[in-house]
Amino acid sequence: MKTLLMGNPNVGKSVFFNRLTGANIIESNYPGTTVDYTKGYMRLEGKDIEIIDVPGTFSLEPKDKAEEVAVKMLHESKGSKVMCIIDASKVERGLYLALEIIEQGFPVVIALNMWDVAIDKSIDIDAKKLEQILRIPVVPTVGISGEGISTLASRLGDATPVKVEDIVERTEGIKHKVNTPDERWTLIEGISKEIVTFGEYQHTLKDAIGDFTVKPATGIPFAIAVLYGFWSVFGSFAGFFTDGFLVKIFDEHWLPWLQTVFPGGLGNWLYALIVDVGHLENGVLTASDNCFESFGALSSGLFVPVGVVLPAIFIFYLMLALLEDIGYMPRLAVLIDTVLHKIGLHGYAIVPSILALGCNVPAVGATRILETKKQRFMMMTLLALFIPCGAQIGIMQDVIPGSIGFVMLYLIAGYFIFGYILNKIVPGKTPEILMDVPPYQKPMSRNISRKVWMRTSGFLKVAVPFVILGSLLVNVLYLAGTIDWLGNILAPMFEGWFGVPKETAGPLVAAFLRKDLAVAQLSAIEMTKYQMISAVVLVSIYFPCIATFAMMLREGGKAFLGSLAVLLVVVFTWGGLLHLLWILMGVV
Amino acid sequence: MILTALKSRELARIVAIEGGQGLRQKLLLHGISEGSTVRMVSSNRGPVVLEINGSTIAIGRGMAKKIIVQK
Repeated sequence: MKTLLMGNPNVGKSVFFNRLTGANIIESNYPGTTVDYTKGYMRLEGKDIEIIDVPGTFSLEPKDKAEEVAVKMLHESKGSKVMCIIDASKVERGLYLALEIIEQGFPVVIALNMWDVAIDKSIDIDAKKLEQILRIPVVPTVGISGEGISTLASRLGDATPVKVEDIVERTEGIKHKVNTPDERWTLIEGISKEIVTFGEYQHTLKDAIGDFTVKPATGIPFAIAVLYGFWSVFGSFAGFFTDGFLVKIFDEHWLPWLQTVFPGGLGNWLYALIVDVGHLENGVLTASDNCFESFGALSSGLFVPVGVVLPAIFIFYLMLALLEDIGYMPRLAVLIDTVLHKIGLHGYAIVPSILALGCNVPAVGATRILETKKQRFMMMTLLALFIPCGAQIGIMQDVIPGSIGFVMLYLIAGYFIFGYILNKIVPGKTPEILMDVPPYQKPMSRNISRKVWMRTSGFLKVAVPFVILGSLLVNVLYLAGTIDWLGNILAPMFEGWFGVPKETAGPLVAAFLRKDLAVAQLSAIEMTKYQMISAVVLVSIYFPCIATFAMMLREGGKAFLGSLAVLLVVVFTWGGLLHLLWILMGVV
Repeated sequence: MILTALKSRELARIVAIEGGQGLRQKLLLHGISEGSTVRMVSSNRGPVVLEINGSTIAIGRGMAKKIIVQK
């Protein structure tokens, strides 16, 4: 038997899913985004029951791609049961979805979740009465502490299909049929009159802070402080671990050890691929003394993801998880809404944009929460081009600490300028924002550590093999002379238009696989500070990494061709402009 | 008066939603219905932020202008 977990967005479905399935999650969603379904198994009375966590939806008439997935999932699951999770402080809209699902003939159990929040807000709900009216199991729950969840699961067996006409019959004062949304709302109003009483709502300090951080006059300075704090902690934490410990471990112990035990030696092709390509010093092939210059699959290939990027990724995801769980992201979305409207997006676009700073792949998936095709296309294109991922930022912190601020500003400027232009030429609409702002919550350490663990281990699983593969590939291409050949052919473009050395060809090939590897390889090429900035910007904007590319193809379909066209224009104009800037400043 | 004219911390009751079925449904699904009491959180600049039955909602100014309230 299959059971779907459904409900409005943000009612705590994923919390239920994790509680119900425990460690049995077989297909992992990107945490923090509920745009795709996740399957798991729950053990109940000696049987395994398949549980599917469905993206949140307000109704069965989808308004965005995530809701489409939810509705499609329900239609494909005839014969399943549905656990409908309702936010007890917002019963009416939860009931709307529940009624729609009941009308489709599904057996339903209802969880009145966030029961504690409702009590805090002096909202009193008669759950027994609701159960009598609907004739389906209704259980008050507090997902975060786990209260009521096992009761809910045990009552799954009591769920049977009910007819809406019978519900109407049992609701006082309602006589009509339920065919249209308005008729459904009237029925819900009738039910709610019988079961919900709103008491006097006492505002607390939490509400005051909530108001303070969402009003532009006070909220914007606060947001700037938060983001600045984020950036400072990120830089100092990552720097502390990378420069303080990991660089020493890799350069003073790991690399010399590899150089002594690995068979072959400088000049041997296998040794070059795996350990050290070496470099020419006065015509003599000399061993590298650091993992940036060695280029080997087991030296640079491990040093980049583990030695440099890992601390950066870890601290980024830790702070992101805190911001997400406290409930700050929606407030940020409200504050930035006006600005993002100028580039054809709305405030909610801040969510994929910030996720992209961790990794572009889940960010492309998160564009599903935007309502129109235009918005999704623009968001996908802008983030793939202009938002460097956490791995790239981490390595930039280490190799260009003095210029990283400029690179980031130049990319953000590109995000807004090309967003503005795209908004003018891409047909389609940008709807206004309409979004729940959840109350602030104390983050649960269990949830924070789980999220950080999942995202960080997810990073390692992809990054380590891909960086190693990328190092090998680039090394093979070097040895075969392909990179030099490519560099020579493209030299007029590299040197004349972009103002970077022709050796940049190698890192640009690596950037197909991993941007962090590409920046690491750039650091081994001899060039000026300004050439380095240009080269790093090129690595960011010239093409998304292969994982992002695949995700864009999957999510964007035909629109992806449009993204490619934009990409070509951006690379030549935005990349060339930087060269022009250097010429005007007289630094080249 | 229209919703956007309400100042921060003021209370009012929603008396009408001047829009088609689509807009009404969208607002209802976010808990904004005729007869509800709202408390304005932020109406000066950017999206309007309001509180209904203890829940906070942000809503674009265009939509907010179609909501008629009475103090």
